Amino acid sequence: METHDLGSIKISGSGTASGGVYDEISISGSGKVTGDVEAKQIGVSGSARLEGNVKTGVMRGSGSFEIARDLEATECKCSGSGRIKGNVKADVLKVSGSTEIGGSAKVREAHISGSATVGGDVEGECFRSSGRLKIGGLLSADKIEISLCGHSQIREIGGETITVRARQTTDDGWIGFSWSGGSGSLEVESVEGDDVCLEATTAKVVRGQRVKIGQGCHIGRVEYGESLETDESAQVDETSFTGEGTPPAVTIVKSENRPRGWQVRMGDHELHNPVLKALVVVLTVPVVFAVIAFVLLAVGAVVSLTLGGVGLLLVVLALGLPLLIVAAVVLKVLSIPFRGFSRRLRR
Amino acid sequence: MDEVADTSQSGSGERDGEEISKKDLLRETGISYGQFYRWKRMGLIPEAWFRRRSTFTGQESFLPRRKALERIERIQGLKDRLSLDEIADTLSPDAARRSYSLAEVREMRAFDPRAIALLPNTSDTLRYLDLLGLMLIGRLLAEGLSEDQIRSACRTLLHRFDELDDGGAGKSLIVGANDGVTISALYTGACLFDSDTTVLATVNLSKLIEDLNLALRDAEAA
Repeated sequence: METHDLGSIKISGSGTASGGVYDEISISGSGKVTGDVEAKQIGVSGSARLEGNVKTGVMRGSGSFEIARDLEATECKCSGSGRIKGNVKADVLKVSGSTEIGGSAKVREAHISGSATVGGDVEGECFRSSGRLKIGGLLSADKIEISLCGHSQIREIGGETITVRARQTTDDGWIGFSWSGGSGSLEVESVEGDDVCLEATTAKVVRGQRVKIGQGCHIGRVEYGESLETDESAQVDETSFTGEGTPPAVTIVKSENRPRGWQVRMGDHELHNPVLKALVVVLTVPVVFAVIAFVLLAVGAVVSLTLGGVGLLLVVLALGLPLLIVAAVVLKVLSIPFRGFSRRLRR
Repeated sequence: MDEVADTSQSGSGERDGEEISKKDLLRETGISYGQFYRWKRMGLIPEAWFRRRSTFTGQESFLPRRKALERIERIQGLKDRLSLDEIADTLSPDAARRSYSLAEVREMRAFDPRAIALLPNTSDTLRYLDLLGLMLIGRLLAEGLSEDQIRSACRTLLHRFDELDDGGAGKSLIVGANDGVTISALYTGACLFDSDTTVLATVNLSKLIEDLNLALRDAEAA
């Protein structure tokens, strides 16, 4: 089913359209567009394949789409698993699914929360990521903020302010839960910036004016022009002062004893007291599970009237499962090693 | 700390092809990493200049010393009055720029009226390259060169314009005379003649291109 209507392409089953200038392109099935296209808006939600260069205002990809050549857009939002084989030039790039870019990306602003793989360089003014990154070239921006999630790999990083955090932070909502198991890591050849602050990073060279090397870092060589602060747990093989005059003393910071396990945030406030954390969890988590329990209970009650035994089993599940989960969460919050606990139980 | 690397780079004088590490470039010019990477993103420092190499201090990028120092000095000189985009335009010789009519060019104050008469091109429209020639003739007239000497220099520029990649970075034009014979050449680095030859003038070509671009910019704005 394919309609050419006032210079728009709409494919909602499977179809093929040819390139050209359009007002809007929307593909929700498995469509194919041959040749270069230019449109004000492109929306792709199925598995689409655009075989030429794409130039558009807003590009939204939510299915598994593929652009065989370059993409130029004012705004590009990818929430599915997209693949752009060429280069991307966009004002704003937002990735929340897993997106692969074969060439390089030139953007003003980038927000990555899923996973992004870029073959070449990534250039922008502002780059923020809380996802997994794999960048084959240079990541360069005035402001680079990376919250690590999983293992990320970047060849080189360069810019003005560079911050790499090991922890995932959830910024929205009044109450935030986050897991800081310290599992995120970054592998990079060199990092160069004026203000560099790193965590969980393995790098050959770090060069900067004001440098902070935090927990979980393995750095071959640090060259600093003004100040250097290293965490006592970080491994730095060599340091060198590149500024003028006498080198200032390296500040060694005591490892902030960051509890592993669940982190609870209320507003802008991070809760450290385990009892308080448990209280918040005990008060909020049951609300969620009460809803689930209520639904299961209602279904169970209805079914038990008609089926007897099976319904009863559902009622038991309804009451038992949430209780088990609540218990597990409380254990986690109190930082009782769950895995070790179960292993010990097994023995 | 890095004295070995430093002396090997600054000790060998003005040899062409000499390189400077990114780190030393920043230290010599006093610019920050933020500025450097911003300018690189804008294409003000061309990607082609970078050579990645492993040194005993780890991976380091090297750039052609003269070109890079000259370019950064130029950007620093312009950045207060122009935006980075405008600087990018100013630094590149844009052969595709529109052509100008003779009347238009006569209006522009940047060109010496005597220079127009000396230009080998006799057609009514002047391309970018011709304007660059005019700019050069103006300079050489001011240096007091004879008409024949200027024509020779102008021919060299017009024939070798294609060599001016990277905005003519690091390149100069030299005019010398030996026993009544005029010699003119484009060179990078140092140009050494024999003792019988007198150097009449040297013109920095990237400066010439920049001056022309600024003059054209002002003329467009007026």
